[in-house]
Order: sequence, then structure tokens, then C-alpha cells
Amino acid sequence: MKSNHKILTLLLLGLGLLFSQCDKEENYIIKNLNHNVIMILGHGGMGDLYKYPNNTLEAIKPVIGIGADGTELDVQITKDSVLILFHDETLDGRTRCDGYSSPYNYNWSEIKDCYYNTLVDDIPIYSVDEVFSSLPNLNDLYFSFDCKLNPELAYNEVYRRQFLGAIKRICEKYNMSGNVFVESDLAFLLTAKDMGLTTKGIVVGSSVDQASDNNIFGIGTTVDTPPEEIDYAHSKGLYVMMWGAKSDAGNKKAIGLNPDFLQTDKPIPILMLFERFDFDYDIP
Amino acid sequence: MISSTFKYIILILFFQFCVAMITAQDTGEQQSNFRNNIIKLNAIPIAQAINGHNQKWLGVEYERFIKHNLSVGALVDFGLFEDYTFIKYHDYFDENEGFSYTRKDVVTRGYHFIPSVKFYFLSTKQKKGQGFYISGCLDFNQYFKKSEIYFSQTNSFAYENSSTTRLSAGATLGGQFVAFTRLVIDLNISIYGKLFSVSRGQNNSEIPPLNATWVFNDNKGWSTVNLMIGYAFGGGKKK
Repeated sequence: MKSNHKILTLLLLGLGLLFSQCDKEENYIIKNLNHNVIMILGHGGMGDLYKYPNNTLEAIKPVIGIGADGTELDVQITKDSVLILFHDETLDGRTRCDGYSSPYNYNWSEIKDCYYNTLVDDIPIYSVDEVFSSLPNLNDLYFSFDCKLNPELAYNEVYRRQFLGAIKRICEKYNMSGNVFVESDLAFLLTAKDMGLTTKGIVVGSSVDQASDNNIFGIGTTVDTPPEEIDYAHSKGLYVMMWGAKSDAGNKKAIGLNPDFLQTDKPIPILMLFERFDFDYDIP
Repeated sequence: MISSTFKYIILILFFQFCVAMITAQDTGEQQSNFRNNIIKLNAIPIAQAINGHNQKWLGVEYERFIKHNLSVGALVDFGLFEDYTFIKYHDYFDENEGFSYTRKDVVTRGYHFIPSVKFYFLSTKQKKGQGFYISGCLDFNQYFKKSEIYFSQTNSFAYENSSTTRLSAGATLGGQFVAFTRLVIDLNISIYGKLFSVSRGQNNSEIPPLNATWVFNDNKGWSTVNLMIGYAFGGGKKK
């Protein structure tokens, strides 16, 4: 009988723990420039923890399907000015194209069959054109282009204009200029303005005052940014794009900072938290 | 969708359960129980914690022993299987149309009727119904889903109704512990395969099994985990 008591106590303790895991209702009051709503963007799609690689259609479709407003994407250009989705500096390592260097050293036709090193399926590198043409209701979605400039050419004006020209063409083709953010340094964003791009510039590596003085749309920050800096950006009329939310706790930390746009590696819990998760979508 | 903490808790619970079973077998000489009937409540929201749905459903199972290690039973899970709001914002920067949203409120009610035959392949001699078992079962279930959609831009509503009727067959592996001769705790995991389904409304799309912890292969298969607490009666003790 004594052992039965022990067993029951253990089980009841277990059950108590089980119930204590149930989500508690949390209310967040958001104060930002974006109608007091945080635009939720995936990080490269469903984020670093998803089974498919970031920046692929396989990772982008689900994040949109579950209800995110869009996603951050790492973009680069090829030698023939095709805007592609790829994060790393070289194709070697992440793809089966062993020994391949920067995507900028190849034409699109030469690298479109560079499949990612994954255990499941053949996942190719995608061009932005392929992704945009595959998504339903594209004009209801938002994308933040993290421009991965070739380090050797990062300050080459011809290269920068070639890069921005590729962004401009694709945005105009799909009427997406108003729905695309371009993340880069101040000089790159000023060149974009000079070229007539109407995308929304998110400056990285400059102060709030510099961004404000140059009439940039917003600033890029991490979840570790002091709240005063975000408040100051808002007071200057600058929108705040935040990244670095890699966990549920990271999401909540970010929410407390009142960003206007949040790139997250954990889109599901934050969408559920704000009643923006579409349970009807079946995540592959 | 399940948090890793929750997975660990389920594992700990299962471990505790196994310890309980083994300990009970060691001390089984102290009492004997040969009760023929068990009523169990399936009230622990394991599926909800794993699949993330807001659910309020209850299960009741009746199990009757026809031999010391063989029983037949039927489980009925019924109630609210889905209750959520989905808000989608539009036109964040559209100065002409203005910021707007669509809000969808979804409620799905339904039931599962699950008859089963259980074989206790590892059981104590002192207590009927205590041990590890496998069972074969059928799951006949019906869901009725109601959606109300609000468009803020036009201040208008739309309504959608849909339903799914499904029959599936499955197998269960479980363990059951009898404490104080009458209190029963049953932890089991089941795998189901769909035999057929009929869906109506919303493009005839199928409502997935919402009592499931994991659904795979486009609703063709799924698993459930149940932790049930019950009461044994009838038959009585033997000394």
C-alpha cells in the first residue's frame, strides 16, 4: 500500500507538471508605427530549424501558408544579373556544386542545378523570379531582401548598380516595389534611391540620426537593441525591422521592444500568440 | 508544434508509469483484484498540448474482461476539437485602400467512437487489467466545422460549414496500472490508418483527425496518445 502511495504521488506530480505547461494567456500592447501591429516575417522562410533549407520555395511556402505576412530572403546576383536566393559567399559547402565560388562568378544557367546538401529531396537554388511566380496572392505578401554583396565587389559602384538593377526589374515585373524591403548599408540604399527604386530601405550599420537625415524608411536592429534606441527611431519617424528572434523567448523579447517588422526563426508560436496562425494549413 | 519540454514530460510520465508497473508486480502478493469492468475517463489534454489546438473534449471508455488477459471495450471522445481565431492583415502601406484585416473564427465539434479488443501480453496474476497490452481497434469519427469570416474593409461577414466522416483502423500499445484495487491509470499510444472518409463543404477538404498528436501523409495516418484515469468495479476480490 505504501508503494502505491509513492507511485500515485509521482503520477500526480507528473500530471501537475503536464497541466502547468498549458499556455497562459498573455496580452501584449504594441506601440509602433505600423498600426500598432507587428508584421511577422519568416527568416529565410520557416527559419533555421525547419527541415528544408532557408531561401528555398520549400521553406517559403509553409511560412506564408501558416499566416506570416512574408519572409526575409537572402539575395545575390549572378554574372548575368539574375537575382537569386542564397545565403553563403560560396556555393561550395551548402550545395552539391563542390568547388564552386561566389554565385556572381556564374551565369544562372550554370548554377540553377546546384542542389542543396540535404538528406531529403533535391532542393535547388531558386531565383526570386521563380519564387514570386509560384506564390499565390503575391501582392498581399512582404519580403525583406537581405542583400548579400560579394565581399570583393561590395564597394564597386558598377556591381552595386547591377545588383540594384536586378532588384528593380523583379519588383517592377511583379508590381512588388511597395512590398519589398531592401536591407543594406546607407550608401547602397542611397544608390537605390538614385536609381529610382521605390522599395523600402532598411539601413544596417548606421545611426538613427544618419538614417533620418537621409530620409531612409527604417533601421535594422537585433533583439538585443536597447528599447530607448527603438523609441528614438520611432520618434524620428523611422520604422524598425528586427531580427535575431531564434526561440519563443526571443520572440517575446522582441515583442516587448515594439518593432514594426520582426524576422523570426520560430514563426509558429508568435503567430499563435497573436491569433494569426492558420490551423487550416497543413505544414509539409 | 509540441514544445521540447512537453516531450520530456511525456517521457518522464511514461517512465514513472513503467516504474509503477514493475513495483506493483513486486509487491503484488499483498492483494488480489479480479474486477471485470473498468470505466475510464480520457481527460488529460495531451493531444491539445501537442497539436496546439484549443480543445475541450472528453473521452469515456468502458472495458470488460472476457478472460484474465483479454478484454473488449469502447472509447467515445466527444466535444470541442478546434476553436481558434485567425487574423490576416492586409495593405500595411496602401494609402488608397487603407490598412485592413480578415478575421476567421473557427469552431469544430465532433466525436470518435473507438471499439477495441485488448490482449494483455504482460500482466500480473494478482490484478486483472494490470499490465502491458496491445489492441486492435476501429475509429469512426465525425467532425462538424463552422467558420465565420469578417472582412474589415467592407464590414461584412461570410459563413462556411463543412464536415468530415471517417473510418479508420488502428493498433494500440499501452500499459495499465491498478492502484488500491479500483483506481486505474492507462497510458497508451495508437497508430491509425484511414479506411475511407467523406467530406462536405469548403471545397470538400478533409478535416484532419483533431485528437491526433501527429498526422502524416495527408491524413492517411495519425497517432494518438491517451492518459486515462478509471474506476474498476464488479467481480470483486479473491484471497
